[in-house]
Amino acid sequence: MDNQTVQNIAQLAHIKIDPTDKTFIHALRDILYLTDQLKNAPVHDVLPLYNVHRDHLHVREDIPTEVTSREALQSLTPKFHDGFYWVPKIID
Amino acid sequence: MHHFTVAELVRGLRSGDYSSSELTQHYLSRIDQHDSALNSYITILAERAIAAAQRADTALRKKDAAPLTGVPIAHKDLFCTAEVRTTCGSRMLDNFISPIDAHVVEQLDRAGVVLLGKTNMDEFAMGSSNENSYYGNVHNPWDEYTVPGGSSGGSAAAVAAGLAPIATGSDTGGSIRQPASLCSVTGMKPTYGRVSRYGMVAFASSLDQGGLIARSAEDCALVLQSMATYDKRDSTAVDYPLPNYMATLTQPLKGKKIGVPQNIYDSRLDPAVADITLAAIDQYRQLGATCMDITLAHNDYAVPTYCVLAMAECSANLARYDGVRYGYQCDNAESVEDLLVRSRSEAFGDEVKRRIMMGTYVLSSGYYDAYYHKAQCMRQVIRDEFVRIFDSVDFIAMPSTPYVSFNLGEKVNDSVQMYLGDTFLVGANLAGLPALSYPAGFATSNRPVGLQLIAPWWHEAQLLNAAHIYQQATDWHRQRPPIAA
Repeated sequence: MDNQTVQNIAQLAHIKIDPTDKTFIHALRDILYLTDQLKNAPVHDVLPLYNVHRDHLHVREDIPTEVTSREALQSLTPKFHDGFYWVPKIID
Repeated sequence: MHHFTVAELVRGLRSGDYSSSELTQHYLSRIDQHDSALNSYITILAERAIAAAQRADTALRKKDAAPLTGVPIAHKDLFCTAEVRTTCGSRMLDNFISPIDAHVVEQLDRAGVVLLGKTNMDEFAMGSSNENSYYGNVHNPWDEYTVPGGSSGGSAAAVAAGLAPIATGSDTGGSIRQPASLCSVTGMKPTYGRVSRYGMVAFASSLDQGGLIARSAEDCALVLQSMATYDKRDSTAVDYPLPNYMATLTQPLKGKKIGVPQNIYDSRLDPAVADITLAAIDQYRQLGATCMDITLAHNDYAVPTYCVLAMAECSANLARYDGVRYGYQCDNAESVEDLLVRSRSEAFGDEVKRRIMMGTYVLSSGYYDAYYHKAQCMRQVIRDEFVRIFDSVDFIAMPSTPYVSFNLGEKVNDSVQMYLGDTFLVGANLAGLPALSYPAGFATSNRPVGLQLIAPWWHEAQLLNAAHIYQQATDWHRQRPPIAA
């Protein structure tokens, strides 16, 4: 994982990292080295497991539900006005 | 009173030996006196707890008590509580007050508990030492210079130190069992799907499972009974019959078969931990169980598999923190992109950032097949191995951790060493199995060691039974650190 890849991944993840922070970047490379052990994993002809209880999955009724009110959710936002979330100007 | 188990407290409250108000005040006084040394709580709810205890006393007087009426509890600070902030150990949620109660919180409220406060934890449950909390690290009650484990380190330290009789926790990759082992308490991770994740802040949704940290298996049985009710609001919760855990707690172990993995006893395991584990297994032989050698052939792949899957899911789950809808928002953003990037960068700690980035990497085009897809296939292999093993044994017994508690700061900059400490734990998460860690001895006077017992899916009752019988024959779980004397 070269420095450019680190910066590309940071951009995708919407996280800014200091390119001179060697401790942080070395840690990423160490983790990647650990996960690289999967290269030798014995998974030939094995299908992926997406849910440990595939026989127990339930499907809820197709009825809309409102668990939490709009007002309650909107009250959590740092900036809210006149029914809208406030963000910096997008269109000039 | 802080020496009593939950089972003893229920009896004491009902017989009028003490009131819930007296009990709650006792715990609040202990928190006030000792928690500055441990930092096990993020939020302490003194006034609210006293009011709840008074209501509990009224119910007890009227003989209108629920199963846990008047018993104090602490919640790990990732279970959402309406009216009380839920920080998840992060600056991102420093002022977040959820509009809902988690299912676990609702159910335990209904059972009558008194909430003392919310416990410290690694940020977003990512960590094995509780050094990744925005609110400072937690100290191990057995030795304040060492870590309590994580990510439920605050819950484990609080229970071990007598600052709560029981606490909730969550276990994504060992986050209940590892701190339980390092703090010499009993930690239970139920089967994935047994306890609703509704209102539990998400880290890795296919692995996250709520559970308990207590003084004994009996206490886990008593409280799990109220906590494990089916909840359709969690689409991965399973409506599986809920047995009466207390009813089978004392069944003899004669005829039970315990699988003992032989291939894990190598140079990576602390010899003292190995000796204590084997002594505990020998105790089970004396209690009538049959112990059989088994092999966990794929255990070395468990941590890399877990890392890829947990980090991938973490990057997806934590994408919701955008600085707009809730959570931390940076000042003076110049654009939406600036708002998003700076809010996340200023509010997330380094370990969370690393995991989000690694998750983004393994899910990105060109790497998905090499990492994420392969890890999902390996997860199937690991699950299949457990299926085969449980064809011939009732339990698997092994150490909870390869080491004992280590010094604060010792591994904080070595993520890989930290992850490898979970090598015996993450298999149960990948397969969704129930598992318990409980005290089995001490490597030195203040370095506890936990035994881990894993059972087949939905066999919590058998697991609690096996741990309870062990705890009736030993007194490791009754040992207390000096702070709890």
